[in-house]
Amino acid sequence: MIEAVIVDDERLARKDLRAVLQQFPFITITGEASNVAEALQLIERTLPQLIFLDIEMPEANGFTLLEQLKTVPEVIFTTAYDAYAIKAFEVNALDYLLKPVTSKRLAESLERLQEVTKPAVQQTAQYPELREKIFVKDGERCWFIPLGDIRLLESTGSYTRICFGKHAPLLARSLQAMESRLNPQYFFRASRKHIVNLEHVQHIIALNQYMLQLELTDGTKIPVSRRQSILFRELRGI
Amino acid sequence: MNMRYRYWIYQIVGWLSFTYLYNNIRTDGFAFRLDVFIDGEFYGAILSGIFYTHLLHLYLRKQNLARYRFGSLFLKLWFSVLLTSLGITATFLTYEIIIAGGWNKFMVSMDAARTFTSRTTTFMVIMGIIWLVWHLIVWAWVIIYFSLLQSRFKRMALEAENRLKQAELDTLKSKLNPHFLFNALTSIRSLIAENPLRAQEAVGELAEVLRSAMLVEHQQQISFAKELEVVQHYLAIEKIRFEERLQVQYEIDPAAYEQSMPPMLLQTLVENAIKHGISQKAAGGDIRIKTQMENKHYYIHVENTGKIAEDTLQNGFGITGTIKRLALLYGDKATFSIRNTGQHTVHATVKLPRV
Repeated sequence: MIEAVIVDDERLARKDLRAVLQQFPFITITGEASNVAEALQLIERTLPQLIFLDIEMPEANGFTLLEQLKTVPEVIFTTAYDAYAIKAFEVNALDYLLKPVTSKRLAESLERLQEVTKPAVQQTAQYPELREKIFVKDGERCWFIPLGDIRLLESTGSYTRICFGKHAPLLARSLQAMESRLNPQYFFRASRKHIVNLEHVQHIIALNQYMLQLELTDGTKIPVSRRQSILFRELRGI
Repeated sequence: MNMRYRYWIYQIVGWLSFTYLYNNIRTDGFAFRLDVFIDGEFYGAILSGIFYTHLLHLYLRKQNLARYRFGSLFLKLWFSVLLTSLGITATFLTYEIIIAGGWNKFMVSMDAARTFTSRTTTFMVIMGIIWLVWHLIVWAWVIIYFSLLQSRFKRMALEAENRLKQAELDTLKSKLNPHFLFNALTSIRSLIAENPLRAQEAVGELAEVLRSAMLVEHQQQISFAKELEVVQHYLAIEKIRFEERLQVQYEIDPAAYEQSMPPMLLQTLVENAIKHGISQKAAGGDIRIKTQMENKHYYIHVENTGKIAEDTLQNGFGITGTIKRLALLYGDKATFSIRNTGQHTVHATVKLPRV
C-alpha cells in the first residue's frame, strides 16, 4: 500500500487522475491540494510516500513546493505540456506523466515506482534517514539527492553549495538551516563554512596538536576548526 | 540611382525642356532662341509647373492606389489632374494680372481678343481653354510619372499585400492556439464522466470557436455581435477549467452590436486576459468586457485581474499580429492600448471607427 497525495490547481484534473488511479488499488489517495501552500500543510501532516505533482500552477509552481519540503517523498510529475523543466532531471530523474493521464502510462510509472519505494517513513525519528532525499534546483537543472550521497555542504553567504557525485549545485538556504535538519551522527560541522558527511571521509590528518583535516573520498581536504577538532576527538575517541 | 534624386532630375529636366519648347512655338515657325534663359518669366513658369506637379506627386504617394478599381482610380486621377492644372492656370492668371497692372487694365486687354459679346465671356472662354490645355499637359505628366514609377508601384502593391497576408497569418497562428485546444480537450475529457450533458455542450462550443477561427482567413470584418458570441463560447470552455476562479461580466451598449471589427480581435484580448491574468492567480479573478460608444468611434475594453510586467507590455502582449492588422485595415483611425490600472487590474482598450 502506497499513500499518495495529488497536487494540481485544476479540480477536474485531480478528479481525472483519481479516476484513473482507481485501477491501481495499492495506491491510496490520502489528500488533494490545489496550490503550493495547501500542499505544504497536507504533506507535512500526512507524510505521504508519493506525490502526484503538477508543475504549472499559479503563483508558485511544483518546484517551489519541493524546495520547501524538508525531505521529499517519491514524486511523479504530472504536466500538461512536455515542459522543458522535466528534461532538467539528469540525476535521480523521477518519472513524469503527461496529462491527460492514461492508465497504460500510469501503470508503467507505478511499476517503476514499486521498485524503489521503501516502507513508510518513521515519523518518530528526529532526523531523516540517509536514503531520504532533498530537492535542489539550481538554474535550469534539478536534482533529487539522497542525503547519504552528499559529501560536503559548503556555506557561501546565504547559499549552501551541496557537493555530491560530480555535481555541486547551490541551494538557497543557509548552512545553519541545513544543519538543523541533518543527523549529527553522520553530518559533522567541521567549521563555520563546512558540514562534512562522515561516511565520505577517507582520511583524518592531524595538522598540528590542535587542528585536524578531513580528506573526503573525492580528495577534497577540509580543515576542522580548533574548537570542532576538540569536539571531533571527544566524539570519536581519538 | 536613388529614387528621390531621379524624381527631381526628371522634374527639372522635364519642365525645363517643356517650357523651353513651349516658349519657342510661334506662329511663324520654330526658333531655338537663347534669350528666354535670361527671362524671369521662363523660370517662373518652370517653377510653377514643378510646384504643382510636386503637390500632385505628394498626393499620389499618400494614396494607396493599388486599392482602387480602375473606374474610381480614373476618376480620382482626373479630379486631381483638374485641380493641379487649375492651380497652374490660376498662377498664370495672377501673374498676367500683376503684369498688366491690375484687374481692370487686364480686362481691357481682353477687348483685343474679343470675339464674344462681353468681356467676361471672352475671359471665361480663354481661361477655360488655357485650363484645358494645362489639364492635358498634366495628364501627360501623370502618364510619364506612372510609366517611370511602374515597377515601384508594383513592388509597393506587392509589399502591401504581403504585409496584410503576414498579419493575417500572425493572427491566425495566435488564433488556433494549440494550448487552448489542448486545455479544452482535457477539460472536456474529465467532464465526460462528471457531467456528460455539459460535456456535450462544451464540444459544441469548441466547434463554434474553431469555426470562427477558420473564418478569419476569409473575412476582414465581422460584426461585434458575432465576435462577442464566439468569445462567449470560448469563455464557457475556459469556465470548465477554471470553475469559480473565472468570473465574467459584460457591459455592452446595444448600439455596439452592429458595429464592425476585425474578427478574433476581442477573442485575442480575452485569451490574453486569461493567460496572463486569471491563470496566474491561485484565487482566479474577473474579466470585464465593456463597450463605449462615441460619435465617430467606439471602444472595446477588456479588464482583468492581474498585473502585466513592463517587458510583456513592450513585447506586444502576444497580439502583434492583431495590432499590425488594425493598422493595415484602419490606418490611424484605430488604436490599441494596454496598461496596468491600479495594483491588480490590467486594462486593454481598442478604439475602432463606427460604421
